[in-house]
Amino acid sequence: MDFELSEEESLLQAAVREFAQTEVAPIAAEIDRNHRFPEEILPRLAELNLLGIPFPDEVGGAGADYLSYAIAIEELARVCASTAVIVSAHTSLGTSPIMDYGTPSQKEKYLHDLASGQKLAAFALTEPGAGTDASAGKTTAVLEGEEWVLNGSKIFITNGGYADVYVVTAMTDPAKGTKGMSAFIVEKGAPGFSFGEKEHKMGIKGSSTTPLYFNNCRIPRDALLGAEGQGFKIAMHTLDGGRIGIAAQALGIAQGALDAAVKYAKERVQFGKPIAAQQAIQWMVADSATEIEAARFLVYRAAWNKDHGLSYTKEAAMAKVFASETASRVAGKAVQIHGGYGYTENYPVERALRDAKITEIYEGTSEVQRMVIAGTLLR
Amino acid sequence: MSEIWVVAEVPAALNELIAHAKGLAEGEKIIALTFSQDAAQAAASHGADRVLCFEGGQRPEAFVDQIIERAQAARPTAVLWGASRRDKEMAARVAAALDAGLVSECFSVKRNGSEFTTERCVYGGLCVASEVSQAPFMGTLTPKTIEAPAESPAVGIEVISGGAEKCQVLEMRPSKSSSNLGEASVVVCVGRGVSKREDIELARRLAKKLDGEVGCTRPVAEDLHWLPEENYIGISGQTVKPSVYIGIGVSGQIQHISGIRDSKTIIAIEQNENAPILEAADYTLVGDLYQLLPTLLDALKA
Amino acid sequence: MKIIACYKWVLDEADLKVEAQSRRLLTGRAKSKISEYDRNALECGVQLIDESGGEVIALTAGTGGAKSSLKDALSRGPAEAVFVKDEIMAQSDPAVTAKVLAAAVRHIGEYDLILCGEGSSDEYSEQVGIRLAQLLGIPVVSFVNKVQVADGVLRAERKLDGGIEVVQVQLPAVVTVLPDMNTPRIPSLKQILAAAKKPVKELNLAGLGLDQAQLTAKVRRQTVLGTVMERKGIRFRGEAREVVQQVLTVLNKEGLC
Repeated sequence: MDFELSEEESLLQAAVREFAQTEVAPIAAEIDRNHRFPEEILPRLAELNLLGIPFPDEVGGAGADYLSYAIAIEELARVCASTAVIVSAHTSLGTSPIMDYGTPSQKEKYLHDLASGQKLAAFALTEPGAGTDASAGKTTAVLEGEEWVLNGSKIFITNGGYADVYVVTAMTDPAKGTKGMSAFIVEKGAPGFSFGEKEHKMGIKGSSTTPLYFNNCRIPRDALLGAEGQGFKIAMHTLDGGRIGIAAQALGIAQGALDAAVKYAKERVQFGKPIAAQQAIQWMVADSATEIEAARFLVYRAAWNKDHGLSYTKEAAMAKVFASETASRVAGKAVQIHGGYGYTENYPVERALRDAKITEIYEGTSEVQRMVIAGTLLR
Repeated sequence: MSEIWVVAEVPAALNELIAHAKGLAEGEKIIALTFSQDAAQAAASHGADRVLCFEGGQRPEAFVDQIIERAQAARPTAVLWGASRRDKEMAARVAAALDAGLVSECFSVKRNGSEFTTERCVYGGLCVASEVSQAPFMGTLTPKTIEAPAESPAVGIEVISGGAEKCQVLEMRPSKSSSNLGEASVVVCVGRGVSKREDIELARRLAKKLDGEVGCTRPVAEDLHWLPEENYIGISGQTVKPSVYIGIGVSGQIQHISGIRDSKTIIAIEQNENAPILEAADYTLVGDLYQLLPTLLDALKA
Repeated sequence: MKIIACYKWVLDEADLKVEAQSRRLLTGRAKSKISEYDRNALECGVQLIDESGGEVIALTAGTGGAKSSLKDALSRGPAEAVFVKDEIMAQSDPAVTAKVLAAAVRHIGEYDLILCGEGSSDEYSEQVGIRLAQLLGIPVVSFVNKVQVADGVLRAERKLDGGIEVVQVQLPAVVTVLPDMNTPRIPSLKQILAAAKKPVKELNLAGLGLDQAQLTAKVRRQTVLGTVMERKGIRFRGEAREVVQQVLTVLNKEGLC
């Protein structure tokens, strides 16, 4: 069993780390404070091939794998959780389903632009009445001649308003429950498709989270993704992969917070010595580092399984629930270590704490993850 | 092999090289190779036995081929070079042609017969490397490590003209700002602890009152561009040797310390007690520079 | 244009520590990297061929450990790499390194321009590139932060102690570059993955016709010890006025007030 990163993975880690430090870090606090989507970063992400990491070269992707993807997301999240989720939602949630379920002509139409980062993608499953209970979706899609007509709304959609391509789930046969759900590819600008105001969130404020409104939204017949009735399965499979990305994001938030806390503990002097000399601080740091290390290997394991064609549902759920709860704990300790200063905007840890929380909620709450894990063991 | 050569662009460096050469000579004559009348006269009146002045070329480097020929004929025991960039290029070319070693920027040279032991900084100033080479010894020597010899009756200067090379010098644009940091007896240095560009004024006032010069650490010049590059003190910038160095918000990174290590008294104003400068300084005023510096300026009536 | 860009695989000085008591250098936790200014050399080469076509060959001489540098170098734009591998490089000095590189360059054959960093981030001898030119019998332009090539003629700006010297010379030549010449680009993921497919030629010293005498360092290292600063380390703490009074006493002793 080889626990070392390959040369390419190490080089990728170094490249993304340098990019994150030199180009993302300088804007991280500002986009959070101003609630601003960092559009200027997208062309750079595309240039570095970071918007299609796990997709093959032939379709415009980087031709790397999920482990590389997880490494890149972690490096971005160490410095800016918002940038990390923009990339993650685009890659795992928006582009993956088209890669996995698209017809040749759909792939030809969308995949290259998305995998090469020329266009941004998003995924819309969640509705006001359908969060954890994803099957309770009320958005409908009715076939009228050569067009599907969508009616309904989605909520809390990451990259909302900025993405060009949306994978949207809607009920084509409400009577059939989850088997009556289908997935569609909807382009920004489609008639009847509009966006609501950006949510004002606790954290990841640089990420745009909006409602989507479908008011007799008309899309071509061939915008159906996968088979009719396959939508729920597509969504669940997509979320499995998305969990690896979010777990990596949470891992990055935790690592960034710990790095800041370690630096502070060595510099802050009270009672004539750095607080790093105090056992209380040492134990907080030790526990945080241990949990992060464990989270890292869960993330790597889930990614490795996916790359090797092995089942990864359980592993991704474990990685997501553990990494996200770790991020909240570590960020909380990091603020504590910083004391009063950690509570101010002058230090990055208060942002880490605010950013961490969402990782326990989106793409399947921790409760859902636990259900999934238990299901693999007890059913 | 009965000669020691000293070669430098700058008169002050040349004089110091002569002092080094006198310390190393075991009967060898000291021959100075110079590229300007100023330097030639300095060498001639500070102890060189013989002075050559290469003139009429487009630049000193134009004479490298001639220097190589002479060195191959005379086979000096040692060639001591100055450490200006031109000096370094010439030294490396001559060393390569003679298949000799070249010790870069050594701050100490000792001789034991035909064996020369040198010390220089490596790893960005973190370490000192002690090295040994056999005659013919070549080294570029850091300035200000030795006093120039006393003036003495001048010897004659031989002018050598010519100088041909493949490179063509199109233009020479002298730098506009002249930093006197190297010669200053008081240096006030601005570090990253200073939060606003305007606050450099406080450092200027202190420097003016103490009749000193203002310098800075690398980030202040190269990242923040608050002061020109000539003002940056550190391993790849200026080396200073003042009587008093005062660091304002300077944390004391090794690369900066290596540029100030020969200061007589090092004083720092720094609030982080864990900063490396506290170990590198003689006196540290521990506290917020925005309180301490104005109070100091007030007390000095600056 | 055919450009050879030389680089050195060095210990990352940020990872190095000195043991307080013995002053011993601790390299255990140190990772290696392509020396900083060599990255500028690679970037300079790649920018030149981006403009006028051609290719960059990355050249390095090092111990077996330098093998890890190859994909890193190849991900930064060169079309191929030449690696002279020998454990003796661990004891080489600039005289030896330059001879080894010169032999490798002769082996490569034709070239228009050789680029080197001004100095390496570990030793900073600032000699190898210049020596290389002398050994190959071609001109050198050192301490360069601006360069242009047109019709086989190089025009460069040297940043010297007194100012900027603008120089022109017919290629082939060696140029040593300063860090402010450019900002090395961050390799893209595709460039990183493509590195594995680029050719690497491994050479050994015997094959280059170098004998023992040529490979013996002229300058032998005896010790490397942490620098020591023996300073008083006195701290003045307390209320601003008191602290300032204490330092005024010091300044007074120096005749400054």
